[in-house]
Amino acid sequence: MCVISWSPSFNPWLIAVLVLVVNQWISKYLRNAERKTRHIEKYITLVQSIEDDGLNYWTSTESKISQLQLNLKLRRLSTLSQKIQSLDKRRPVPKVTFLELKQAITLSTEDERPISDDSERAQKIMWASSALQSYYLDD
Amino acid sequence: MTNHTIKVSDFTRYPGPRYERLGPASGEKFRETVLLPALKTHGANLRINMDGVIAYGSSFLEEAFGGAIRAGANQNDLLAVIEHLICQDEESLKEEIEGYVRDQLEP
Repeated sequence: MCVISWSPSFNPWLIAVLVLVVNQWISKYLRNAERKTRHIEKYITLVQSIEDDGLNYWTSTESKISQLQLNLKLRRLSTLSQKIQSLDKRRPVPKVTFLELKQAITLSTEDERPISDDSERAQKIMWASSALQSYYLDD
Repeated sequence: MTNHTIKVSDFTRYPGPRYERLGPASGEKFRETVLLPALKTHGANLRINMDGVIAYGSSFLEEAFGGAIRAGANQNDLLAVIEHLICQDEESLKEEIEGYVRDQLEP
């Protein structure tokens, strides 16, 4: 009868390579987690800024904020959410809520300013901003 | 027939408001001077490169693309053009624009 036996042999090189690989994997994981946290912090700050600017733009005709500035900030927000998604697949870009915020701020047929704080547009800006912040804070 | 590509950045780097009377580089002007003539000539073979501009407001996009349907553009050609839209800078633009066009097609 043939008996095949296996005895674990201590191979220091193999252990060293394994430790190195695991080490690198952990470093990469931590680096990505740190980048993700930084992007999320930027995202939250930017959403707050867009909400303030959007409400300021729509509720006052003397606002110094332009549509172009709002468009630019919304574009940055979109880019940030794509970066977060690339670092964490469990955080896909919140397309629907983002579009609701974008449309509440930049979709109009005429210059309807100034609107009141409790108008439908103002409420939508506040709701969508809050929803986007919650989406990334619920981690 | 070969494809023909237009770049929005050749029209402007700073897309403006909905109507021409509201400011420069409007969605209305893009539709009338760039999009509709190109659609008429190239139909479904038209390709639009949306990249290279600062940022798009929703009013510009709605007036340009939703407005193209209101102005009588061929809906199948326009939907084919949107299907091949080049928007690597901001991927969500494609869905947004398609939404404006489909809104005009609903009874």
